[in-house]
Amino acid sequence: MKVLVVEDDAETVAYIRNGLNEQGHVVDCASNGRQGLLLAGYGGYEVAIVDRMLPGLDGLSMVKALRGNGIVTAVLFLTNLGGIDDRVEGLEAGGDDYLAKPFAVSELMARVNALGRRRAMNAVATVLRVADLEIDLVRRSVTRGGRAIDLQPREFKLLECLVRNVGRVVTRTMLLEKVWDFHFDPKTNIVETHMSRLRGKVDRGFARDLIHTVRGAGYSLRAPS
Amino acid sequence: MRLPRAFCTATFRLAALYVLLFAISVAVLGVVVYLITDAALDRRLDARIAAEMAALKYAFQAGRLARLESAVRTHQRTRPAGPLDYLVFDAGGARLAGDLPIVPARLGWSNIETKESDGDISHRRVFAAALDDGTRLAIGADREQIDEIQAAIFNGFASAFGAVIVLGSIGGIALSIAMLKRVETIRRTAEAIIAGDLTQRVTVRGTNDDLDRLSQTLNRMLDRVAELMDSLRQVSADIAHDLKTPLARLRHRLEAVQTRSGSGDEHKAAIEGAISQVDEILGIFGALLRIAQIEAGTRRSGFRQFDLSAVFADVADAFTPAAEDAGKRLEAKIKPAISFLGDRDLLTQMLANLVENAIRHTPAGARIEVSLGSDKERIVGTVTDTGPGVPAEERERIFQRFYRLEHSRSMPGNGLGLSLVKAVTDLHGIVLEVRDAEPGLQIVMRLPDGRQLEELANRAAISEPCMKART
Repeated sequence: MKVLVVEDDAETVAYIRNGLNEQGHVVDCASNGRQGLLLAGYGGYEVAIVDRMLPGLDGLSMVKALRGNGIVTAVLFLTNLGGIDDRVEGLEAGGDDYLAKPFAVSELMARVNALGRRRAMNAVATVLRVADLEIDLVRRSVTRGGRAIDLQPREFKLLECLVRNVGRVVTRTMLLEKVWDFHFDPKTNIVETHMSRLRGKVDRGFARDLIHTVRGAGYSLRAPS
Repeated sequence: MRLPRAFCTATFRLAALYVLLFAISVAVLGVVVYLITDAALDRRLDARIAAEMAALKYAFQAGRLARLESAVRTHQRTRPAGPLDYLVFDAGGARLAGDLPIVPARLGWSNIETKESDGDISHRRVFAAALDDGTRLAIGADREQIDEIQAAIFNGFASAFGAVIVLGSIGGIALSIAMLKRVETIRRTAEAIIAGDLTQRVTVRGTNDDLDRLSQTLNRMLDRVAELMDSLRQVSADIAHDLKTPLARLRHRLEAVQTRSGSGDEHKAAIEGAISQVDEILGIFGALLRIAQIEAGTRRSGFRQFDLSAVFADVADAFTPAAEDAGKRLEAKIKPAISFLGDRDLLTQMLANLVENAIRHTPAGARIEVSLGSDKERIVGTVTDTGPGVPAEERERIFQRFYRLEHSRSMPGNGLGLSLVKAVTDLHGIVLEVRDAEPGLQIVMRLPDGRQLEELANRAAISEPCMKART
């Protein structure tokens, strides 16, 4: 995947670049908004990681200009610690996701991967299938191996989120945001407890597990190899 | 030479300007009255002369010169039309009868000056007319009376003018001194505060006039500033204290890794531990910053109407499995479709913190209830548990930053969760109450009614430009 990083702090750039390179992504970097805008206009990137605070043209204005020019590259904003107004502003400016600094590289990778995949998964499929698991988004029903699985609405959303990112890591905070619309970090293991219930329904009684815990990162749903 | 300070005040300048304008209008009024009375008195004098002339002409027609002369003599004696002088003379200017001291040189109206026997000069208004036989009749009136009236008017207005200037100036100075005194007290208070004494307040006299109200507002502003300063001081002290411990622990851990020649696995474990400790520290930082931003109040501009019932239901739903795993029961009694104007994200976090708090500080088997409903006029939300509760004397303090009850010090948590709850409720005008649930703890949130919401919205409208200016 081609990823553009627009960030003025060299150390952060190196941190992000290493992480992305390890996963085999192609990375270009810009250290200010104008350069970022120029590169984004011609580079054909799938994902752009944009810092909110940039010298010259700031991140928000840069993305607004980008969207104004009809460029649809997925944008992930990096915001400062505790910036409570940043999320809504970023989304309104045309961003697709946000992440507060400082962040774990695994979190960033999971989000970049999810953004990159989004376009492929956005096809208007009404039935999602992974191995013998089948989710009907219209009837909101789930079957595995032909057996109906009864899920609570929240569990259904959780499973849907995992299936839409099949084969990729989905982090705890991503699930909190997407499934519960919680934009803060609860100290309680909300995701873990719901996930264990979901697993109880989806994986228990079947030979192979679909839902896997990725240590230190999050969860992943993948077809047994 | 330096002017006394009372002269250099805005009040004095205004008073002086006012006095000047008032004096000018008195002068203008005087001139106008003078001219009008002058004209009116002149007309009256002329009318008297004309009437007398008509009467004497009638006497002449009735009995020629002899009758006229006798009539003039009679009129001079009896003065039926007031102090008039008469003269009958022929075309050659020879006096035939009457006592007008001067023979008019021409016919018609004229003003004649004569020197009286006592040396005064008197002004006379004279009308002379020719009769059929060439004889002439003149009637004159002394203007002395008119002049006296005019002099009285002039003197009256001149004294009034002087009085306005003198009294106005005295009043202006007195006013300036009084104002100067009051403004000076405000200024001195401000200077004292600048010098560092934040406890100083402007004296309020209790008259509820404009300066008093200004003083009250200033005092309220100072209270708020002091409050913010205190909270800032408190936060800095808290940060220093509560971050020192985890930072010191982190340092020890890293030092141990450095000195000990352990295996790769041990190193890895140590680094993982260090990272989680750093995350904990960052968590505290993040929470503090968030609370500070919420307390700044700029977020009100982003308030939207949203379904509060859904937020309560979502939070209850999210925490139910976690509560069950901890051996507790979480129940929700939520009245549907209650809408509220506020920040959805913050209210979600507020409720989540309260529920988390309840789950964390109750023993296994406890029951936690989340409710949302309305009493007579207000919407009320509660989070109630059957845990050990909080002693009455500590209830107010649980919302302070880093405050933790003695028995919960050993539990995880940074003591900021309820501070955030307080910040969010303050932002939304929600009244928080801590009650004894007998046994257990009940947190009651009384949501503002429509009128209070309007006030909040107004404040948001005011704070919005400030926020814009900041960014």
